[in-house]
Amino acid sequence: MTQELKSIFSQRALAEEYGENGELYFSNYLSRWEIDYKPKPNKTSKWDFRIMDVYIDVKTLVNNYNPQKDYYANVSALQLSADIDIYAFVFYNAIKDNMILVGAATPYTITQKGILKRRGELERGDFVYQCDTYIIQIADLEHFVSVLDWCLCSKYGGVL
Amino acid sequence: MDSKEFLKNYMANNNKDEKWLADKIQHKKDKVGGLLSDEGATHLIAGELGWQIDQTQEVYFVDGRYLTALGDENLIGWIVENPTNGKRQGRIDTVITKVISVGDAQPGKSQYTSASTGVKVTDGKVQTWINFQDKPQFVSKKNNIIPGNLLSTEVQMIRSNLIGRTIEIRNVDIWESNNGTLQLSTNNFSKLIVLKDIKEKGEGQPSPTTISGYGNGVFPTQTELDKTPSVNVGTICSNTDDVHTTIYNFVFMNNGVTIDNICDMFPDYDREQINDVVEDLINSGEVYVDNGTIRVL
Repeated sequence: MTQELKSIFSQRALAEEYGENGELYFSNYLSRWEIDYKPKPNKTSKWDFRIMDVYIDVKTLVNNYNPQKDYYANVSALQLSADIDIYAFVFYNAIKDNMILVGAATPYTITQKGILKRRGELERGDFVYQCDTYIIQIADLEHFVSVLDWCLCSKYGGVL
Repeated sequence: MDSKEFLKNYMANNNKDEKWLADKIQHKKDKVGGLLSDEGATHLIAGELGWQIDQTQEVYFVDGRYLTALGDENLIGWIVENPTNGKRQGRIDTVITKVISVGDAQPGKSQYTSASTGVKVTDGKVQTWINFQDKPQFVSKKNNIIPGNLLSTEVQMIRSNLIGRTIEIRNVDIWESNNGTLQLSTNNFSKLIVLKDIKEKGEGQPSPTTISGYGNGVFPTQTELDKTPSVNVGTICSNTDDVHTTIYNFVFMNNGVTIDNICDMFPDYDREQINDVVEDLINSGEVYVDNGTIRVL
């Protein structure tokens, strides 16, 4: 039992570390684009970044390869929320130790273009989904800035 | 004040000309590889210079304290104290609310519930969870057959289409838990209706999700809420009967209908009755008339 708990906590800590690195990478990206943002106010915040009234959640996915167009990005179905305007996906290549922002999507895009995998469903390599999860192909994601532009125009007015 | 107006004022106060703004917009667009529109760049520049739109408001998560948050005067339904355990329990006729997220299905914890799904909802002021349950059919003590109701399964089946949408739930149980909070859950007679589609990227002009009572689709500001005596959930059905709800839903789903359309659709209702209901809806600010057609605000 102790072992099990330990392994869960170590995994969680690792996931948090990856997540924080992904957020750091994303914040550098925003700075490079000269886009003003506000970071999350605390660790338990649902969103990671705020650009004016657009709330962004950064999802970091760990892989041993560079991302391909037919790879899937995933979000836990419970985490998919109408409170968040944009989900941005960062891929971390654990072998090469580098990160890349592969794209972004609104919750609506994820629900419509993605696939809802149910808890217990099997994936290649005997991977079992531990909870209901939305998966979406990288090819279906869009450039972060174009999604941001759409969100800004839909909130404050503009040509869509 | 919109972003363009804000920038005009800013330029007037800081001796900047149109060229300065055009250069700034171009610079912003170039910086991100031309992916921003002029409007998007304008909003970002205005935001950087301190523009704030009076649109956001803090949404409180009021777990369980639903009645307190909504205000008893706005609650259509009933609530009583159970004499056996002293806990409050009751039923709300209609809850109209926006879905934020949908939880995973969980196995039921009693013989009367075979599965349940938590759905996080908001009315723009408070957030709470409503528990959608799979209820098997059973025979009551008075030998009546109580029908089954598989709302957890229904929610799971349309899960992808629920997020961000406005739903109406009829017959919602409200009950006090052991820690004194009020919980909401569906029962054997509950009904779920998805009221309105949201428009999203790729679907043209977005239509903000409409919450009942605030027909313009924008969540009210805190100041507006302070001025408003009651909260919006349930307002559609306040002082109304089934005719009112049915006609409102029809207008809601078929924006731009005429009185004749409604009369054709519901031959059982008198024209006078329909006129009265439409007049009520217009007076309550939920719909308006444009060139003889009835449109939802």
